Amino acid sequence: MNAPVRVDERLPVEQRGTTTLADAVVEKIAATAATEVDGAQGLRRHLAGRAVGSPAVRADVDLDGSVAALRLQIAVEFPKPVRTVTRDVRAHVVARVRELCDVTVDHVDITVAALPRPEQESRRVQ
Amino acid sequence: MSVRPPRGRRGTAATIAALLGLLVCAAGAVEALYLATTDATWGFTSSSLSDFLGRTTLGSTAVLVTAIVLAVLGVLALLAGVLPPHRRLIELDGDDATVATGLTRRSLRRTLRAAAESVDGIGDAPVTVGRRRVVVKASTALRHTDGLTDRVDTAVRNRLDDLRPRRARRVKVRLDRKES
Repeated sequence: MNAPVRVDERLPVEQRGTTTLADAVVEKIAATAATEVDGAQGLRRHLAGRAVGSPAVRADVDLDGSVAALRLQIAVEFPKPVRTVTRDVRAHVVARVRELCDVTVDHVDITVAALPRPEQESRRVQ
Repeated sequence: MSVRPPRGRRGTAATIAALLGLLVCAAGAVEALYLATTDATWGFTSSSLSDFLGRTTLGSTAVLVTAIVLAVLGVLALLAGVLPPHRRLIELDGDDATVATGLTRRSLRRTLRAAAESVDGIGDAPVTVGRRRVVVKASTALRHTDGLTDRVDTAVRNRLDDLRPRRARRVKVRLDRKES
């Protein structure tokens, strides 16, 4: 009677089920992708003036369907050119999010919140 | 002529009429009790009410205003009783003339909202359904919104075309950009 019901590969794609990505997934991928760019780093969190935890890019996404708007907060290693680094981050994040999630990125707003020196990273400059 | 969905039942008007009737009955009961338990020849309202009526002439403002208000309320009550109530369902055109199909306003609003929100890049899209038009307030986080309004418009229009409401409605899409 109860034969197992399986998704029929012959069905049109739109009838086989939907895939929904959580915002956090796209945020994680974007944050990770940003740190893959040379010169871009994550931000340390500070508690009472002391850096705590490991550095992380903060990412926030508005994801509606397969189009996303991204906001990133990053640190740019001193003395790398900020504009060049942010441009590379933007391009790389857009490419990675498209590649891994099949999500089109509408725009990426980047806030550079720190310029740490390589030897003393986590120093905040604003 | 095909079958049509049932009309409403004038619930509000009926409730008001019932409450008024109840009020009159309650007043009568109180008055009767008062008369039965005291020696008064007329009810408890007698002195103040008759004094007031004695001082009032037929042409005075208070009488006229009261009369006009009561007349208007009376006409409204009469209309509520005589005019056929609205149909509560939004009628759909079906293929079978022996079956009436309808959909509540809320259902139509929800399905149109779902259609609008299914468009890529649209966040919320609350919809208001009027008698002649449908207004969609779509919000988006995107900045490149070329053609987005048209896509929402098409999605909502297609859903409407699938449902075939008896009365055609124009679709109006307003796109709001949300910046966060």
